[in-house]
Amino acid sequence: MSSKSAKNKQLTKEEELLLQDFSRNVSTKSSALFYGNALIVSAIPIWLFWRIHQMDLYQSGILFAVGTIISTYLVALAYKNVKFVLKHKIALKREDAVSREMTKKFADDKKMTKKEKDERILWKKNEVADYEATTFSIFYNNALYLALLIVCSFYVLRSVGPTFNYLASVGLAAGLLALFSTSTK
Amino acid sequence: MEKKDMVTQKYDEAHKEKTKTAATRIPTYLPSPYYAQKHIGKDKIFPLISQCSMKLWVAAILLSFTCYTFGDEENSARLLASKNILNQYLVEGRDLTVEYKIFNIGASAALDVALRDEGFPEADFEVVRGNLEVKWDRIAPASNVTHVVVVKPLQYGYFNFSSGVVSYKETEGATESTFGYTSAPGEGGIVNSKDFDRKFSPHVLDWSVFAVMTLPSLVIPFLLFYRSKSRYDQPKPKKN
Amino acid sequence: MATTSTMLASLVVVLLPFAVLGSTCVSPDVKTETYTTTDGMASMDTVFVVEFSLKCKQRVENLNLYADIHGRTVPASKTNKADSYQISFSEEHKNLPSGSYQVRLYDDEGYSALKKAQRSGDGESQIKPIHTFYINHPGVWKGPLLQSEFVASMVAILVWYLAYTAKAKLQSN
Repeated sequence: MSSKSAKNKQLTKEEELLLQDFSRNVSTKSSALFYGNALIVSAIPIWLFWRIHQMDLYQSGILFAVGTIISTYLVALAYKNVKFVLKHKIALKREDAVSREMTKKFADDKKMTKKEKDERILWKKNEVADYEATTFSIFYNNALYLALLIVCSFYVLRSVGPTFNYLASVGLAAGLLALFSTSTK
Repeated sequence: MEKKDMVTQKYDEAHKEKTKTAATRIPTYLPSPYYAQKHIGKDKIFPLISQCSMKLWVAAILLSFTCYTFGDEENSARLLASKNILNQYLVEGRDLTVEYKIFNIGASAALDVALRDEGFPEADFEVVRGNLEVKWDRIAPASNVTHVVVVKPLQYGYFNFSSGVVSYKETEGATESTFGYTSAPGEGGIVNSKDFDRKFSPHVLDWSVFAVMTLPSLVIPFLLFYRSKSRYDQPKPKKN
Repeated sequence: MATTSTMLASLVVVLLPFAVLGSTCVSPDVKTETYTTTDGMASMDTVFVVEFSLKCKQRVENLNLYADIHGRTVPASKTNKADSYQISFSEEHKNLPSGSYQVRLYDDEGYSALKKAQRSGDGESQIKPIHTFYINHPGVWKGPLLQSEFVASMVAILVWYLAYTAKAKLQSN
């Protein structure tokens, strides 16, 4: 009876991991990381608009705040989507290397059962893939966001007034970023 | 019926007259600092004042022809003066170059030539180099002199550039001076230095600071990814 | 009778040099203030404006000055201030590159002698100007070579492109 329940427990743990693997939900830690980075990257363009488009900081303060919030939300969304798309591909690639490293680590440990070892390898693989996907998603989306923002603000919306320029550039850049991230290429 | 035709005819004539003068009027553009007008592009915001010089040449030729046909004295001097602003853009706090050219189209030398321009009030303009009141003893017939004054606008907004006054003695024994006016460049817009900087300054420092600010957002995630990648990206060992 | 006329003649002869001397400037003291166009957008032509004061050792009445710059002779205009003159010279930007330009000042006599020499084709350098000075023209700045926002957008696009290739590599099987 107890062994069966123990087996059930292990299955649920595997199920848990699988669920985590395939769901788009991120842990709170990842979420905090995403929102933090999105906030930083959305706040940086304010410098450009203050210095180059000569927008007054205090006068446009509310505008900047609104733009930053909207942009943060959209950029974080883009991070999540890109991370989800990349995670599996990375997991596939890192599978062998991770299992090799882990088996080497647990080779001397006779106390652990094979099942436990496999579980730990699976968990480690998931963690590595998650980590790499997160960092790469942040890097890629930041690069794309900045490129989109600069092109929008200084070429597409060149002759437009600074207020509308800010709103439209930030909106366009963040919106396009979110849009591209939803593609399942 | 006839009455109606006459009325419409007069209306057409008046309308034609209106459009004709509008076309030949010196153009005034609005350097709106509030960017409220979306249809004004960059080239309309900053007026090209010197387009007037073309019209001045036409006026000069016509005037000289008139003088030739109607001039009574053969041996008198006649001076034509033009005043041009050589700037492409008029910016507050930046040099404004004004060029005066005086041509003697008469048959004899003009004596005691004096040029005076009171169109740059002290409150609005600061003279950088040159004098606004100058004299020449003699301008030979069929020759010209150039005078340049460099001023700096102290305020932005519209400014009507008015004519300068030229006084000279037509003949050697003349007791009274003849007065004439230079051409007037017309109304121009002096742009706020902030707006001008916004459009034309290179902002190299600002861009460098921006680059430095974006560096952590890009480099740190990439480095973390690359570290993890290089740790786990070993190729499969070949199994024999 | 004869003595009075000879006396008069000798007086005239003695005084004549002074009359002649009165019209030329000897050892002038010249102070110049120069302006040259440096901002290509401020002016469509390059201008040189020189305000100078010229004080001769003895007072010269009605001195007319001419300046010879860059192959052209321009008359100097007189200002309200005593002994203060102005020379204005304007040319297209491409005709006045950066460098040092020599300005020679002549009075009426020198100017007519110069014109005669120019007509005859030689002897120009032998005519001594009242004063010579140099204008240093640093050149006209026409604007930066590459617009900064162009450079910035190119760099941003490049960085994105590198990221894109890395992403594509990751997603490939």
